[in-house]
Amino acid sequence: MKIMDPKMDTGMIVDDYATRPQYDVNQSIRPRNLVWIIDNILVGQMTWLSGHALSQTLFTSCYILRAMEIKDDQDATTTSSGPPIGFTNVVLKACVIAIAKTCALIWEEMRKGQVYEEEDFMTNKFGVSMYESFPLSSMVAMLDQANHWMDRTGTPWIVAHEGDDASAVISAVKDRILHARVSLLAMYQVLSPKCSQFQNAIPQLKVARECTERLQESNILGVEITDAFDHSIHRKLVTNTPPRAIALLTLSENFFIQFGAQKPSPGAFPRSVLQTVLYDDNVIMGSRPVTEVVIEVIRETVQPLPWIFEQDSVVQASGQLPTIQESPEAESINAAKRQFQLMFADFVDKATKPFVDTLQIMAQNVARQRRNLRKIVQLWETLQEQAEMMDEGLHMILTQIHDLEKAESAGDEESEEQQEEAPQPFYFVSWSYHMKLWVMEWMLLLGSELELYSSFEFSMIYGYCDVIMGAHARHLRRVQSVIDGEMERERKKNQDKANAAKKKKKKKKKKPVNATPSAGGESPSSTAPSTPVISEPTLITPTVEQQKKATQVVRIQQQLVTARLNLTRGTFLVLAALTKTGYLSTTPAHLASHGLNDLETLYKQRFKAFHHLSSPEFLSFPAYLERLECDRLDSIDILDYAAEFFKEARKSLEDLQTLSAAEARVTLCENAWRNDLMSMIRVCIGSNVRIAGLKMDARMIELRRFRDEYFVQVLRARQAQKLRHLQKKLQGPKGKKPKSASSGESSSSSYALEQEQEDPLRPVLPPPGQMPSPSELFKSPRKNVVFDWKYHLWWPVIELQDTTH
Amino acid sequence: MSTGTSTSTPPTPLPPIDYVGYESEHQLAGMMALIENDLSEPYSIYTYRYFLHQWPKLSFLAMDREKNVCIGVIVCRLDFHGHSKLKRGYIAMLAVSKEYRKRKIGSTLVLMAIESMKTAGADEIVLETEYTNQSAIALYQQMGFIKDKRLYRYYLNGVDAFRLKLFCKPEAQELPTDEVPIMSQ
Repeated sequence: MKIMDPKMDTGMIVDDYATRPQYDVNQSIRPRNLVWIIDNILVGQMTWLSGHALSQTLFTSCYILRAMEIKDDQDATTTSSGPPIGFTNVVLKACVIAIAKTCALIWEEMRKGQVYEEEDFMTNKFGVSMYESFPLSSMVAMLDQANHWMDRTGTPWIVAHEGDDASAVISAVKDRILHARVSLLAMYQVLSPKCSQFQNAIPQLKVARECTERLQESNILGVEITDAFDHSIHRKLVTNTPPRAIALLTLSENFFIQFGAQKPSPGAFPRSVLQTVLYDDNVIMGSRPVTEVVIEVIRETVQPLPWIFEQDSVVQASGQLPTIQESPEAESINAAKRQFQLMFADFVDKATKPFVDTLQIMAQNVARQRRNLRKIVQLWETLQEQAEMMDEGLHMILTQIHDLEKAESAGDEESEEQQEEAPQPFYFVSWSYHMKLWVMEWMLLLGSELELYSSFEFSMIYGYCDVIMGAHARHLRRVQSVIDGEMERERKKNQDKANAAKKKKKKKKKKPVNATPSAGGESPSSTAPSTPVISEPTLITPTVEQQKKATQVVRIQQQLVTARLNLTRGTFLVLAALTKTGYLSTTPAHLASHGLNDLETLYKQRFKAFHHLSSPEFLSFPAYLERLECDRLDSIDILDYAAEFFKEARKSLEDLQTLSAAEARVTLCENAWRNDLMSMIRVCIGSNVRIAGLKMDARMIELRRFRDEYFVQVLRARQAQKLRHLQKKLQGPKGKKPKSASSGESSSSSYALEQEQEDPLRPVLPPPGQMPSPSELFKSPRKNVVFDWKYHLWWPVIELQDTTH
Repeated sequence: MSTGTSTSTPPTPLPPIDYVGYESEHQLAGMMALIENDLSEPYSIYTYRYFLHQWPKLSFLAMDREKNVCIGVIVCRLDFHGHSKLKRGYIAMLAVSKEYRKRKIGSTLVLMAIESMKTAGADEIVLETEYTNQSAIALYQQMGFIKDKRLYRYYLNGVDAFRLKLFCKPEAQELPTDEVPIMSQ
């Protein structure tokens, strides 16, 4: 600290501060003063909640700091000259202490350190009492007493002195008492341990909200009272950091939206409460042990074999009172199962950290979310390694079971064949991988929300996101088909049993089990090559029947991921089209100008968190550039594809909209979920409108013309080559039918070259190396690329604007 | 020479600028006056001394030759980042007097600082800027900085910051940093 610098030195006397007379908290005040004082204390409270120091907000009120100095023993009814002192020592005192106490409860919550000190919130109390030890019941009694006093004494006085406004002023005062009461109770209930009082809090919060609206209306009745707030109090309440510049929120501007609305970002207090509610002392939502929730999430997502969860029953059944005499083989299988169940319990323990951390991140400020997600990706990666061991262990047991069943059913060829086809499941890797991919997508898209990316980076981001989501959609499809396959086998097994019971050993039709290619043994997380960027949109067209019973989490997840994938792919393709027309660049001039950096380094750094992941495979910079090439299509073709992807995304999203909250499992956040779907649909609609415009852009048309000219050249060259070839063949010793050349049956090396030339069955651009630079290619002027984020913070709607704008 | 910003006057030759390294505290008053005028954060003299005494070679001044007045300044640091082996340069302060802007004085100072830090072995260079400060962000992006992170309510005035980063060596990415736990190498 620099002494005697007025900006830094909060102890420096800059005016007559020290000599100013102390404000008299025992003076009698008019009810309109009371309204004004309480409203301004509430403003202080809300400003504090928005992240400022108590010394600059709530503690500026002399009444908050000195409520206990208000004397109770003054006769509350004296009306010699001014208003009765009861407005001060009954009503105001009760309200002030109640508000302070409410803040004390909030402070307790915030002190848990679930939000970032200074960044989100300031908990420094400067040693000032917030009446923490004041009993809640006495507090409520005081407020009821205040209400009673109003009815008996306050109201008649107001009627006598306020004329036409009397009833409004009476309501205003009584509303403030009520507000203090319900806010205190609601806060107490919300913050009660283990969510035990949530049900009681709901009606209180409803009243608080209604009351808040009335407060806003009656705020104008307030009349200022000089010096009731001391905005220099932070000179007395010293911190080790300089005071922040502060603009107190105005009542209408923010106070009333603060608790109700979620946008802009929720304040620190609700975020902390959310974390407590979500996870406190190994318990989720106040009632369920975290391990139980993890198990349920695993079960819902990948639906592993039921016996894995039936820990007790297996142990018991085999431990004591075996109802059926088990063979030694069966015994050994049971032992293996028990062993595996122990492994599973251990795995669930290990999964708790990534799981809870991921949940809690949702309640952090967005900037922190992204920073912490980089670490969370690692946690899931590590868990995935554990999961691989789990799955291996399971495979060994399944093989044992299989062998045993095979032995038991020896002679029954049918069922033997059937069991051969049973695929090896990868439940645990599937789940961990699913979570990891989700975190990766979240992390990249949050970067858009935080405005971290420059325009030249967007194609990298959405290109990478496209690859991750592609892997995710494929992964979930695989999980789904494994589940479906298992259900089908289970159904058949039961049917077989039933049939066998009915007619012993009667022949029946057998159908191959619809084992999926992936289920054959390939690990789901193994890095299958990503789909080529130019392909048909990923479709999921569930039948009506499927849709109806789509209670399965995974099916909905799959649909959502696919919709996002198509949305992301569409965005990436628009970026690719704009890159080809030189409106965007992968080598921005400024990067080269100082020779300080290159795009490949930037690219690697941007995706550093993904670099050493075992899966999905890191999308290298050259691979990204290749995807951006889009199979040498011209921009108009690319935009046509983009439009298809947006259309398909929209269709999936509209399908999702038809789900009920229960089906989609969003009962607690239905509105937010529906709004998000709607926003994504708006991106699709907006993008397709812009794409129609982009296709008519002058450079797009120039590029199309260039492509057509090139194509004509290619055709001519090919004709000439064919002709040469034909002549050669006619002269050559081993003449082949000319037809075979075009149908690609020839194996001669000279044909390979020709085939390459023939490859483009549709017109495309020359290979990247042979493309002229944009300045050579385009005569039309450059335009600015505009990214419009008003529909969704994660996906822009992209358009062009003349540079004159 | 006029210091006014009026553009209607006939073009007068711009005052020549000299770029000099930091030498001693006799330059400090001019530097502080400039920075206090310009940056939102209040710095005490010890903040300046912290940087200037430890890394004097990483600070530069732009001087109006005729008036012998400091009209631009950059103050930096170079240190190992956390527990990693990564050498991280840090641009702590950059200010250019209002009347002298649009003359690439800021860019020149930044380039000089980057050069000196790279020579001293920097793997990366970072800085923070208010997320609304478009001109600063544009200046650094011109040099290849990217927005690496957003820092919520970073400044005392409650405004978010962007952490901008320049990667000096392509191979730097192989080194572990504090951000990512050390994995199997």
